[in-house]
Amino acid sequence: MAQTEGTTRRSRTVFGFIGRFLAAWMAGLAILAMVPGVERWAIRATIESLGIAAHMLRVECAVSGAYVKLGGVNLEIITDCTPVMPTLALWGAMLAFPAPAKWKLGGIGIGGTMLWVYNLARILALALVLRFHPTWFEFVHVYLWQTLTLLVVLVMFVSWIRLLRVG
Amino acid sequence: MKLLARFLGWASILAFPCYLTMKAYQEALAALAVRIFEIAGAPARVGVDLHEPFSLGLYAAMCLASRNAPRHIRMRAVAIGVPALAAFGLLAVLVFVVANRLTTGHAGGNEGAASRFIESTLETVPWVSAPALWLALLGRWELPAGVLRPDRPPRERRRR
Repeated sequence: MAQTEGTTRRSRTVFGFIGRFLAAWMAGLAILAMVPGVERWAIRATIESLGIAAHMLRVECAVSGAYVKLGGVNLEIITDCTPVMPTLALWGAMLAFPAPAKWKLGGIGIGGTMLWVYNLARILALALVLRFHPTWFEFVHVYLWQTLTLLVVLVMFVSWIRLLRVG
Repeated sequence: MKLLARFLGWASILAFPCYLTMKAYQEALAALAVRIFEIAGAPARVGVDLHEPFSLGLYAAMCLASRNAPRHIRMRAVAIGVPALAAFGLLAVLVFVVANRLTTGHAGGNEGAASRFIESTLETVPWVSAPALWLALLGRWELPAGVLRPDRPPRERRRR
């Protein structure tokens, strides 16, 4: 009986977390829809960050509006090229998780920064693939965006929980 | 972390068949949606441009990477979850068209906030549905006991 009660309680806790995460997720999407300036800012900031990263790596980079020429390869930076969605996912999970406010704020700040850096690395890797193996581009693009990005978000979230439990 | 490493391995393996079937899968999804709208007496032209069936591959990878749950529970999670996610993806496409028609009069929506919200929600369904379903079906075996309990405070720091 105790085991059943424990399992039921744990299931309720899991569903509670999922519910809070979905609520945070939808709220974030609503804010993005009502304030299109956020996505426009994210695109501009991604382009500028790519320019800085390219300069540090001594890679040729030229910007024209939403287009970036990286190492001879033309890329159009759209909303999907920014880390907005994975950041929203990570922040939603952190906000939904039971933790002190300062841990959440710290996780949101550091996690957001790390995802920004990851996204720059992802775009640079895609530019490399497009330059040297263009036939692989579509597969790598989907794989990196969906699979690897989800894994990065999960690793960050799990690491944050571990630090929370230790701290 | 070992779970995540196994997930990466399985996800990488399953990424290939997901990629190879992407075009056919999305065309089938669109065709099914069109047929449903025809039967409902509200024909619509539907095109699907999501990264599907990658969410099915991701979910299957998460289930296959799980070790704590009994084998039959994991297999049941795959058997139930993969078709459930596919059905949920179809439902998302149908809701997308209906919601856009209700808010803008066009199945594809427009540039307004409502359409952007609907489109973002549809595009992020693959993002959240796979991990959420895994958590719902296998989370209680794979997550450490008490990790999601809101009444368990973090360990206090030792005060010097």
